[in-house]
Amino acid sequence: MRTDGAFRHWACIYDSDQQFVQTAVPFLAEGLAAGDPVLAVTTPAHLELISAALGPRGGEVDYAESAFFGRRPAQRVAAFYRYWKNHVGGRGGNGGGVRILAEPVWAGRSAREIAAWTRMESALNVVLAPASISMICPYDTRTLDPDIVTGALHTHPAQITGSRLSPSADFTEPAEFARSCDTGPLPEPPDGAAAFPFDGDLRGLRRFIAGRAAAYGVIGDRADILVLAVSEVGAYLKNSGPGTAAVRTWEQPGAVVCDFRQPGLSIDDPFLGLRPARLEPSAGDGLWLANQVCDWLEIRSGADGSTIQLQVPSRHDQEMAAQPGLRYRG
Amino acid sequence: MTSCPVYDDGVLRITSTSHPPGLAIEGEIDESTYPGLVQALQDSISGRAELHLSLAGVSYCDLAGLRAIVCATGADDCETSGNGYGDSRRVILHEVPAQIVTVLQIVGWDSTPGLALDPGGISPGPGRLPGGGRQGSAV
Repeated sequence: MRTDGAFRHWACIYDSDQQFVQTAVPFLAEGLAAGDPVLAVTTPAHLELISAALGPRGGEVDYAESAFFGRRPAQRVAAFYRYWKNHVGGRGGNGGGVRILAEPVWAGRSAREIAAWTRMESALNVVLAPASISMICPYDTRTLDPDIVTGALHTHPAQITGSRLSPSADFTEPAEFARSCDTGPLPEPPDGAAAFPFDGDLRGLRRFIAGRAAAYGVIGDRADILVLAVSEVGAYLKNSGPGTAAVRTWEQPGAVVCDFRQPGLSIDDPFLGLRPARLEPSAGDGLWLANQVCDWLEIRSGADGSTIQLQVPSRHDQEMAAQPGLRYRG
Repeated sequence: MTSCPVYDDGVLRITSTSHPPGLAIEGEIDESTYPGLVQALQDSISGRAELHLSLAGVSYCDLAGLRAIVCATGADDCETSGNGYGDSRRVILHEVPAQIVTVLQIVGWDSTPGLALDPGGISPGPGRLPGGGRQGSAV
């Protein structure tokens, strides 16, 4: 199978370890034989299976446990992009591509998270389109909710079994798929949310959110991250439309939320905030950065305007405290 | 170090430094101060193979401002998009606030050819915006 050129994205739907190995191992071994960078992102159990099957060559495979290779969808996209860029992206278009086996974590996720990860699987087809990456995403029918497996057929243009590729008849055009994920409204700000009438004054916006962060007990690096994300969203809105937005912020269990509502602004790009920023500037770079450092960044756009809502951990989050040196929950 | 102011709008203050040759930047960098930053960078790089930027006093820097600083290297990716400054050069960042280091790493610009972070000079930052107190008080 060819792996050069642009992004290729295949689902491997399997129901036994043997099936998993029969697809994953030849894919990785071919890449090693060709001298291409090869990355396996999966469960510790599957990393062991792969390692045993590859034998001594297994030591050449780059690997990561899924849970730690991009904690959230936007970071996962960035992690794939970074791997590609670091290995072949800077060497022009003549080299071979990279191969990535990428098995997401689904167990224990909320419905909201499952929707976001499924949406990301679809978005990869567009956001990584220029990258010479061949990616197989394994889906284990023994453990996954059938809806998640069905989702994989909508989000991957083809399925792979062993080395046999078959087009996925259910594949949905990614922009259409993303919009179908974005139909539900975002939560309304609660009564008592702190409000700021943003008129394009980014310094004022930063002072407002820094003050609120302190009031919610979000301090230090976490406050800096929130200020950064909010300011970048404000800059995007300032540059994209009338430049005035109702900004509201509140604390809810586990999170500080900041909500921007801009009447009259239409946001048509469903992949805004997912395309990795580069030195060549592109609209949405600031939203991408905000998306990297927040737990959530969601966008809705309709006839009456656009809403952007972001969320960072509250002062009760202990993950960062448990990992000294971590500057944001990434 | 001798210095003289090259830009000061009350929010962003940039002074030129001669030892080492470059700029000391203080204040907030966002789109309102961006033109001043870019002008100061352009004025300071002509004919220089090396530029030193002290960022200890930067309390906020948005992504666009950081890009302008990184592109002072004249890296190819900046040139192709028309955001470059001509010839390539070394740009050494001193006393870089920790948050700027974080953003450089997230966006991957820390590995831009020609860019160097003075390893001894990572700054805890100049203090935060009003209300955003620090965790711990050792710094």
